[in-house]
Amino acid sequence: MKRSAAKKSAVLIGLLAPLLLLASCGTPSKLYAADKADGVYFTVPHDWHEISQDSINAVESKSQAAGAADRLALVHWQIGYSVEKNFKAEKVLSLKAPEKPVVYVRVRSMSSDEMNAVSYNTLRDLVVPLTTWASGSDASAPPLSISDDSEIVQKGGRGVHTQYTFKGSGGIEQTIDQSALMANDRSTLYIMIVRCSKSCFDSNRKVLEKIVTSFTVRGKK
Amino acid sequence: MSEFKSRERDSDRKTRIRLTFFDRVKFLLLFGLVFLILLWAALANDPLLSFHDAAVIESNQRWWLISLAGVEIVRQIHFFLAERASGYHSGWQRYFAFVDRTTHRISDWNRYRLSRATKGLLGVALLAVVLGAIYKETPVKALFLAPQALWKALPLLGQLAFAVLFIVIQFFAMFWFLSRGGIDTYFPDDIRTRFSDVWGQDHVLNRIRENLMFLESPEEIEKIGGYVPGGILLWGPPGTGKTLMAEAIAGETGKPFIFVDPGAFNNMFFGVGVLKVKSLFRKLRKLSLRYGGVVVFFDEADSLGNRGISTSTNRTEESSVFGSSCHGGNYLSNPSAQMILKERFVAGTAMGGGGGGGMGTLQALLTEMSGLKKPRGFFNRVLRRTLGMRPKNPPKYRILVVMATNLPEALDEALLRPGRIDRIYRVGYPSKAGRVRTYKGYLDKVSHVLTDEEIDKLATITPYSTGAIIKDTINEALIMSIRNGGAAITWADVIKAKQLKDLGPAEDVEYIERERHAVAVHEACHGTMAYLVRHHMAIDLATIEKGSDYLGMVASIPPDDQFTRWKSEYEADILVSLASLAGERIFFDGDNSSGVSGDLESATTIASFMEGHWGMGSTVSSHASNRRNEIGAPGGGKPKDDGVRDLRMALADRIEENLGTLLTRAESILHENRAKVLSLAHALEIHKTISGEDVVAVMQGSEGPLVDGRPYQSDANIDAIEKYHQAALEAHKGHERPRMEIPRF
Repeated sequence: MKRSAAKKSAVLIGLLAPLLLLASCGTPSKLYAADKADGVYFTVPHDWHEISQDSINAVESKSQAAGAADRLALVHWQIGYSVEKNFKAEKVLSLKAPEKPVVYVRVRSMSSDEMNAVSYNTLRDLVVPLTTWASGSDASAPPLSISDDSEIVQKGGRGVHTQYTFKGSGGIEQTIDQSALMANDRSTLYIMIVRCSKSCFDSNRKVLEKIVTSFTVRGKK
Repeated sequence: MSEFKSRERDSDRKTRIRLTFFDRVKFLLLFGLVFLILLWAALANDPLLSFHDAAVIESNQRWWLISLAGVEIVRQIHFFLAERASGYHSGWQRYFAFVDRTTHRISDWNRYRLSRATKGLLGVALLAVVLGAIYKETPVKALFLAPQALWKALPLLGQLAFAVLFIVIQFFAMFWFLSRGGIDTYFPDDIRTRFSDVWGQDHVLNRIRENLMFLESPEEIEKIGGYVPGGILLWGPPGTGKTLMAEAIAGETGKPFIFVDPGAFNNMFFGVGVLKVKSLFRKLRKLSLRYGGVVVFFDEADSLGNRGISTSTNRTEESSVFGSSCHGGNYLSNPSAQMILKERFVAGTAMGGGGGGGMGTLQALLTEMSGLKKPRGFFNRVLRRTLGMRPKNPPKYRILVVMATNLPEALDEALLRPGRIDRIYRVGYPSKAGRVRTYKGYLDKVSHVLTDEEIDKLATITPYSTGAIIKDTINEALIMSIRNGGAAITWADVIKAKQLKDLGPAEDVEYIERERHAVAVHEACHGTMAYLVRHHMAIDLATIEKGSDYLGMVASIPPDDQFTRWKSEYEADILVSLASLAGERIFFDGDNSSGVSGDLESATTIASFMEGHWGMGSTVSSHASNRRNEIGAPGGGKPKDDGVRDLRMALADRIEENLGTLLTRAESILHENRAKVLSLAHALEIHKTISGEDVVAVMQGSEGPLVDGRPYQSDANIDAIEKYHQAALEAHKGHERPRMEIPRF
């Protein structure tokens, strides 16, 4: 009786021990980024590097643009990820085409004016005045091609997903994939921007689209 | 059939006892379960998380859980080896012995405090982790949020449950409060009494000092394999200084002293007494650990009661021996008197004990007093057991239990067994040296003019005086001295105080002359007989002043502390008792009063004991055991030398015969000393109360302190006294006044 008990326990220990050891020695396959308070989740490949909220906040707080400080005050969470190790936070916020893919996610409250005025077009125009450029009414608009423009409906909100390529300053073509959602009660704005030079985006398309699809908005608890 | 094998002692085992399967895996299962719960929580918290990644992330974050599991696996491997390899096991045991030795270098109290603090921290930490997991906060924050959140989250049912709990808490609180009180703690130097303040009990004090010495430095006895004696019972008559001794112990010891009130275990509700005992001993153990020892004193320990065994008490009740017109019992030495009382009242006292304790209190006390060596405590017993470790034995609690009682027979037998009460000391009446010391001690506090010789004499004439009696006598003497306008206590004050204390105030009753003469003759017979035959006692005083319960008396005291009694002495006692009957018959022409009843009773009792108990009669067997074994009294006795057997007689007949013989002897003695009796009666009639020295003066014709005995040597005077006696005898017969006045010299 005792012998069989000892045998059983030896087997059990033999099974459990490697499992626990394996679990503790491995690394996760992805980096999981989340703002659990606002219910926003996404993943990036595990070898990507984080650009912290603090560093982005620091850059944004130095901005001289009108109303920049007010906008920063509305931000709940913003974070960036890049393949590059020491990717500067300044470059996350500039429109200059990066050579390596960059992901930027921002969650902020909407002011009451914005809540009243918000539309899908407002969401499309968050990064560049896309609707104006697309309408062709602006002569100074850069050459632009929109590869996707679709509605996103998630548990926590709804919005539009747009992917477009334009030639920016310096003549480099840049592809931007932007997902912009507003919360069901329109109180909060969720934005994910994945961008890179066109060639870079095309070559990394599979990885980047995976990141885009991982963007999940559950909404506030 | 296989032989029964005694279970090996732990120290005799070569390998460790094998664990059961559950004991082997329970912690791994627990850790696995916790890990799965944490994993589940993480998965629920992030919709993108894959199981594998969640497992990896969780195991990285909960490294402590993995480490614990690792430690457990190592431990199980260790156990596995210890169960199979005896070499490994014995090596490990040796290593552990070293660890134990090291930890035991810390003092018991510090280890207790360390373990208490560790347990507390462990509890808080576990709570914090659990709360942290529940509230998804850091454990520390969760710890602070928890009470608030708990109240918010409590639904109505929870609140109702809390209300029930609240009532329960009230009951607990009530019982807790009820179980307080009656127990006072004194710390060293709180009490100023020292052993030097206890007088006349040096033999007991020396033994107690020894107990205290062992308590102060227990290593002395423990290192050579002994143990500190744990219990002392002090018993003895009231007022002999038992409580004072306990007070001195409290003053002398460097350990805390707990005084337990006699009423502490009286309880209104069932179980409160038990709670009290338990809380008392919890306190004792704590103090013992903290200070390395503790003394607990149960005053009037008889209040703890017993479990219904019949008790005999020494209560002195109104008796014809002691309450007679002649105060017959007072002729006896104290032990004889005690003997008579015990014999008379043993059967008549309450059966069944109970006492103040009852309701399990005594049993709880018994258990606590001998149950100190069991492993204790939840963590020690349950947690260590859960971890597969053996509970540690408790440290040595050095508790000195001191009990005091004047009714040792009311104590439960089990309470007095060694291990509970190791030493039983009788705190008896102080020795003469002790009495001298006590007299001096109390006299030093007042102004007096007594010489050392007088103090010595005082101690001699007050045998069986306890400290309390001596204190009272001195105080009474002081009052006498103040009343008489004196500045200091004189010898006369002390003697008067002593007489007042012994006899009570005289009743100021003036006898009519013929009755005065009868009482005087009665007492003179006792006095003369005592002077003539009773050499083991000295006459203290003789009086014919009527007191509350006597008409007159002759009181005797032993001149020395005496511990053995002899047949000749008892015979002398009986002769003194019978002297009254013999004398009355001689002097009143065969008439005698009822005043001899008490004398006869004591004479008969002593004669019975002599015949039936003490081997002072014609038979050998003890009536005490005969009666106990329901055999019946023997007849007959030793064959006479001529081979003729005595007529077989029943015990009562033999007693009567002995008494008859002694009465005849008393009559012949008194007959021969007729003049002495009448002289003493005359002195008593004149002076009412005279001292023992005056009695001797009358007998020897010398000069006493009050009475000049020289006139009694003159034949003319004796004739005058004889004439007066004849006149009084006539008056007695005719119930009239005597025709002549008492002659005065």
